Amino acid sequence: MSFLQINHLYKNFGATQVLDDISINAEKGEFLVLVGPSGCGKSTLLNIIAGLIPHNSGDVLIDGRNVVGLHPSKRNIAMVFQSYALYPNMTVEQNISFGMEMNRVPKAQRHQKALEVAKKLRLDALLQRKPSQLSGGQRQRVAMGRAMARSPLVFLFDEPLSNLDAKLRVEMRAEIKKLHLATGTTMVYVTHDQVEAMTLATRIAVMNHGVIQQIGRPREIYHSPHNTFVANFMGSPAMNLFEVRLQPQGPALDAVTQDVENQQVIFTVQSPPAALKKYAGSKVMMGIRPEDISNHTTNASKQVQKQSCLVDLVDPIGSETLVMFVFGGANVTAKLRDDLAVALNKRIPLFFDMERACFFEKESGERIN
Amino acid sequence: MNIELLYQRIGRVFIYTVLLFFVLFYSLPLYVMITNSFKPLSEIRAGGMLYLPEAFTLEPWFKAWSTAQIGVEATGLRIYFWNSIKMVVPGVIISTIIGALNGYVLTKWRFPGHNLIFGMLLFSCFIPFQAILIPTARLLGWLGLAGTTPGLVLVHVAYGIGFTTLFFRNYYMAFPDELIKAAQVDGAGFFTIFTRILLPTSLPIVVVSVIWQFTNIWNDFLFGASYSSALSQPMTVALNNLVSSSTGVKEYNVHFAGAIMAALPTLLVYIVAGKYFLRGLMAGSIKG
Repeated sequence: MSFLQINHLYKNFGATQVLDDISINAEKGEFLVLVGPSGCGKSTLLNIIAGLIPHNSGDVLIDGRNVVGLHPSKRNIAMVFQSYALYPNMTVEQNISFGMEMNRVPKAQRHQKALEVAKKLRLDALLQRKPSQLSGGQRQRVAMGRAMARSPLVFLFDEPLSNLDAKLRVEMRAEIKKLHLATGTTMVYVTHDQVEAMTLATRIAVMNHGVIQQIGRPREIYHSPHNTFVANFMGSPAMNLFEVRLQPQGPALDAVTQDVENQQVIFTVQSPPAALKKYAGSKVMMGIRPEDISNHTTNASKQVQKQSCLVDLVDPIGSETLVMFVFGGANVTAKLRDDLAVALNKRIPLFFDMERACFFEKESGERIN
Repeated sequence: MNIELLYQRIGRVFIYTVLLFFVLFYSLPLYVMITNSFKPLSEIRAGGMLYLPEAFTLEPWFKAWSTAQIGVEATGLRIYFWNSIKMVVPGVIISTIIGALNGYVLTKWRFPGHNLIFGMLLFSCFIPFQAILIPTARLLGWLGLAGTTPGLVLVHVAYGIGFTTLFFRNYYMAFPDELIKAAQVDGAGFFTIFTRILLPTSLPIVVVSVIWQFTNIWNDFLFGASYSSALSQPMTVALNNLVSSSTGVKEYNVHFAGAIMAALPTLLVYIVAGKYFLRGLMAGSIKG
C-alpha cells in the first residue's frame, strides 16, 4: 500500500468537471510534482488533499488513513502557498509557531522548535521581524519554516516559487530539493513550470483538463511521452511534432514529409514496432526533441539520419543556437552547438537521431508503440 | 521659457485665490458661532455679528451646559449629552462588531445565497428613515423598549449593520484567501482566524466604520425625536428644544454654545481617528 493514495477522485464546480477520475499513488519519501497548464485542476487537487476544498467523490489516504472529512489541521500535512500567506501582524517566530500554539504546545517548547527550524533555514537572525520587513526569498523561507515546524507526514507546495524572480527561483528550488533530501518527507508539489517539475521530482504527474495525462519518472515523461500534449508541454523548446505519411519499405517503414519548398523528406524507421506497422499507408505525427537533431554525427546511435534543411530562423541563446525550419507545414526547432555559423535561407545538413523519435496517432494524439 | 513660468505663476495665484475664497466662505459660519458664543447677549443685540467679543465671557457655555431651559426643565444640555454618549458608544461598538463578523462570513465562509443576504443588507442602507418610523415604533413597543436608550441603540444598530457590513465585506474581499487556508492548516478555528488573523489587520476599516457610525448616530435627529422620552432624549433633540423654548428673549450666545457642544464630539472623532484612515497595514503580507 502506498503512503499517499488518491483513489478515483472527482470534483466539479457546477457543470464544469475540474477533476475527472484522478488516481495517484506516492511512496513514502517521494517527491511528486503535479504539472500542467493553468486551469488543469492541479491546484484544486492539492487543495483537496489538504482538505481545504470539498470534493465530490473519491478517497484520499495518507499513511493508510482515509483523511476525507478530516479538518486540514488533523491530516498531518503542511502547506506552502504561492503568496507565502504569512500572517502580516505576527513576527517570523509567531508565524512559525502559530500552528503549535493552536495545538496548545507549551511556550518553551514552541520557542525551541521555532529556533531549531529557523536555524535550518538561516532565519535565526530574523525571528523578531514582521513579514513586511523581509525580502521575497526570506518570506519564502519563513513559509517553509512554518510548514516544517508542523513536522508533517506530507508537504504540500502550491506553486511556491512563482512569485520570485528568476535567479531567486533557482536558489529556492535548490533549497526545497535540499529540504527534501534532508527530511525525506513525502512531498506533493504543484507547478506550471516544467523545468521545476523536471529538476525536483522523483515522479511527475502531467495533468490537463482535470485528467492525468501521464505519471512517471522525469526521464520517462521527457523521453517517452504518452501523447502529444505531454510531448508539447514538457521541454523547452517543446518536442517538434510534424505530420508524416508512413510507407512500407521492406521490413522497415519510411516516414515521408515535405519541407517548405515541397521537397520530399524521408526518414527511415528501422525495425518498427508492430503497432506502428499497422499505420502503414496513413498519416501520423512524428515527434523529435530539438536536442536530438544535431549538426554533427558524433552521436553514438546507429540510426542517425541526415536531412537537408532550409533554415528559416536562427535564435542564438548563448549556450546553444536554435535553428528553425519547416517540415510537414509545422515549425521544427533544432538545438545546435553555439559555435555554428548558420545563414538564413540556406540549406544545411542536419542529423536526426531516429532512436529518439516518437510517433503519435494523428486524431487522438496518443503515442503508437 | 520665462513666459511659460509666468503663466504658471498666474495660474497658481488664480487657483489659490479661488481656494482661499471658499475656505473663508465655509469657515465663516463657524467663526460666527465661536465668536458669538463668547459674547454677552447685549453685544450681539447691538449688531456686528462679525466682530470679535469686546467683553469676553464664558457665561453662555456654562448656561448651555447646566442651567438653560430645555423644554419645561431648566437642566442645561448636560444630561442629554450623556444620553447621547450612552446611545452612541454601544451603538457604534455593536454595529461595528456585527459588521466585521458579517464581512468575514460573507467573504471567507461563503454559503449558498450569500450574495442574496448581502444584497438585502445593502438594500437596508437605502430604506428612507421616514418609511419605517411607525413599524419601528410598534416593534419597540412590543419589545418594551419604547422611549428608552437601549431602544434607540437597537434602531441605530439595525440601521447601521448594512453600512458596516458593506465596509468590512469590501475590505475583506481584498484579504487573501490563502491566509485563511494557512490558518486552517495550522489548526485555527472560525473565531480564532477572525480575532488573530483578520481583526489585527482591520484597523483602517474599523476606523472608517467607527467614524461613519459615530457621526450618523450622534447627528441623528429623527429617530431621537421619535423614539425617546423626555429623559432619554439625545443631544440633537435637546439642542432643538433649547433653541425653540425661550423665556422671553432669544439667547443667541447660549444657542451658539450649545450647537458647538453638539458638534464637538464628531469633530473630535475626525481629528483623533482621521490619521489612521489610510494606513496600509497589509503591506508585505502577500508578495515582494
